[in-house]
Amino acid sequence: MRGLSFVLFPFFLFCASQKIWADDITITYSPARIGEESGYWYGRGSFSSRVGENFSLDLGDTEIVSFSSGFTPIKREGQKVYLVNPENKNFEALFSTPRPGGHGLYKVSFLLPEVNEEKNLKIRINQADKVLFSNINFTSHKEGGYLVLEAKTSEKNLNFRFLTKLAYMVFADTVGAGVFTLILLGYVSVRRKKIKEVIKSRMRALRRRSPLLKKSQNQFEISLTFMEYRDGKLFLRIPFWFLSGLIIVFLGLVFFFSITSPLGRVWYSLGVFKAVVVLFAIVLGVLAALLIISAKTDKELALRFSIIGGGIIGSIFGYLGIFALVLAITTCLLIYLLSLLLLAD
Amino acid sequence: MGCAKLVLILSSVGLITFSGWVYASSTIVFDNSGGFFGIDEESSVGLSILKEELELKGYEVKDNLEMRVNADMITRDLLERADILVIVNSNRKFKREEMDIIKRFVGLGGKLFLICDYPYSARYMNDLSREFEVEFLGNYSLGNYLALNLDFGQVSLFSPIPLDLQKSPDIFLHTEKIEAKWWPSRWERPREPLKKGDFTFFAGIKDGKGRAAFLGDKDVLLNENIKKGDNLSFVLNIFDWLTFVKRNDEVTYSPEVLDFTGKDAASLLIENRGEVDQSLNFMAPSYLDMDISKRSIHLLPGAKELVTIKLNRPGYPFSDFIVVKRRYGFRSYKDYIPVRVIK
Repeated sequence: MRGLSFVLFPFFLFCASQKIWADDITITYSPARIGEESGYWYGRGSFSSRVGENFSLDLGDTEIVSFSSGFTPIKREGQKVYLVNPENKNFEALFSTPRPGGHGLYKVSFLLPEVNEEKNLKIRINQADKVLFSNINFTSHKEGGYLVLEAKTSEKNLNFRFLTKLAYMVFADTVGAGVFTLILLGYVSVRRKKIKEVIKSRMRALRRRSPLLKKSQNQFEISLTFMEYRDGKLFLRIPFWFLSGLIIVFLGLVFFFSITSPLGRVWYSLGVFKAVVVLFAIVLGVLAALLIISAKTDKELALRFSIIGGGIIGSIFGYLGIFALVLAITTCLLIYLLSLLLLAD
Repeated sequence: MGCAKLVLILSSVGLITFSGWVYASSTIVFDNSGGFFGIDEESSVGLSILKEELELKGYEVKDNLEMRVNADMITRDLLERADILVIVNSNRKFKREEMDIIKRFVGLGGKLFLICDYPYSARYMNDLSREFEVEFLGNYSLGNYLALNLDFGQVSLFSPIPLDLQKSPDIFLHTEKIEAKWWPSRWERPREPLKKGDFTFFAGIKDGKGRAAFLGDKDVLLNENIKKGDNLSFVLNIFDWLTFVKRNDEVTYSPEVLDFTGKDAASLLIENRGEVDQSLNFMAPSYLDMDISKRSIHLLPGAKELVTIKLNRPGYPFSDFIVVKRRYGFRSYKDYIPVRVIK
């Protein structure tokens, strides 16, 4: 009986140790510039496993970059590699996985490498915000600039989708800009008759007063009155409206760059979304211009400026959710009240 | 007085600028576009120890991703900011445009370090290495483990592959009389013997104003191997050679002249005042019939060694030299110590 226990006990220990052997796999995804676009680079993985004297490594969809010295590969059958471990040490390897596909919302899908069925899986994704779908039940937390996913699994196929911080911000800002566009569109639609009327009268007045453009007998006449030759001297006239125009252009440029420069930092990462940004900018620009030039009184101008200002701030900080709405309303009120105070003075 | 001050200020500024230029760090870039990575990896198969050691020597070590340039291929943008480009086991074919800019990079003074030890990668690496008349013999296996005693110590190689040189290199290291076997692929055991001979596993060539180094073993760089024997010294010497770094290697001999007049023995004190380990070999003209207590010595920085030299046939006048062959890294020098007997 004692003899039997001597045999059974080590066998039990062997079986138990076999069961707890698991592969430790860590994969890191980092953003990279790929060609002219921004995306995610191939996953960079490390693999560590306790192995016997002879073992097989299933490569899955990965490519081994380097592995521990001292292991002798014998043969390869499909994705399975057979190795000998003469020094009885742990097997370690670096491997690369396929690149996540997509823009903003990325998809990762491939077969993991494995020696043992059980895996302690850790995935680190730089600049990611959240996982939207996964075939493995991960626990997740943020660590520095990384979203870290961890799971103990026997699943060989890894399949998940994640959203980047930038994509989340762009999505939220787009929603913000969309709401703002709808507000402006509604305002313009409601006041469309008045706006049309005011713009028409402004255009008529402009044509009448224009120092450059004059209407005469079904045609426009351009006259250059900036220069005059008098008493043998050439005089150059700089009208006040020209100076005002310069100042308006300057302020417009400052306004434009203050909005677009934060966008410039991530511009190359936006991919096809650039077209959406440009479209929103044009629509909002046209609506805002219509509203501003059709303001009849100073009070109306202040009100319209405050709506536009509040809307821009609300769109920019759209990713803050409900706080963006608070910010937009506060900005709107601040601009309006300060303008009224200035007008009162 | 004012003029003297100005000269003093200007020379100080010049000195600071010059020292800044001398100590300006070189940027080593490990290429990721070919699938390789691992410079920040701390496991046994990573290269973090090598990175730390290179940083201690003043190099800046990065990869394509850290350089924030197009990571998909080797571009001019990358090479403009790199001093040394390291490519390890590329798994992709280089474009003609890439090979041209790399060749031009080396020609204009850049440094290239190509490392390959897989049959599959050799086909891609050779497209580039042939531009420098060097080829990795990807289907040759020099064995699983190779320990070599070189001038600067013992180097351990793991599954290295040999090089074929079409022009004479500036420096090279080779094995001695070993057998190479046919290696069909990375995941198969090497098979039938191909030939026995001395195989070059490392070579350095000068090309234009730059330099290119070729190594048939990547495993020597891994964390688990770099501290074995003198592997670290070997790898750091490659980077020193690539960047032309001349380190303080001063060795002093005392007395400067060995005078045997009236005696048949003399002592020579050797001191390594430099910053590098050095191997010294003593050679005396055979007609003098001298006994040197230590023919070969290895001196660490700051170490001293006393060597006794005995003249077996004293009495007749002569004037000659003992030659000390001194080596460190890939450099070798000869020092001449005068010996004489005055009648």
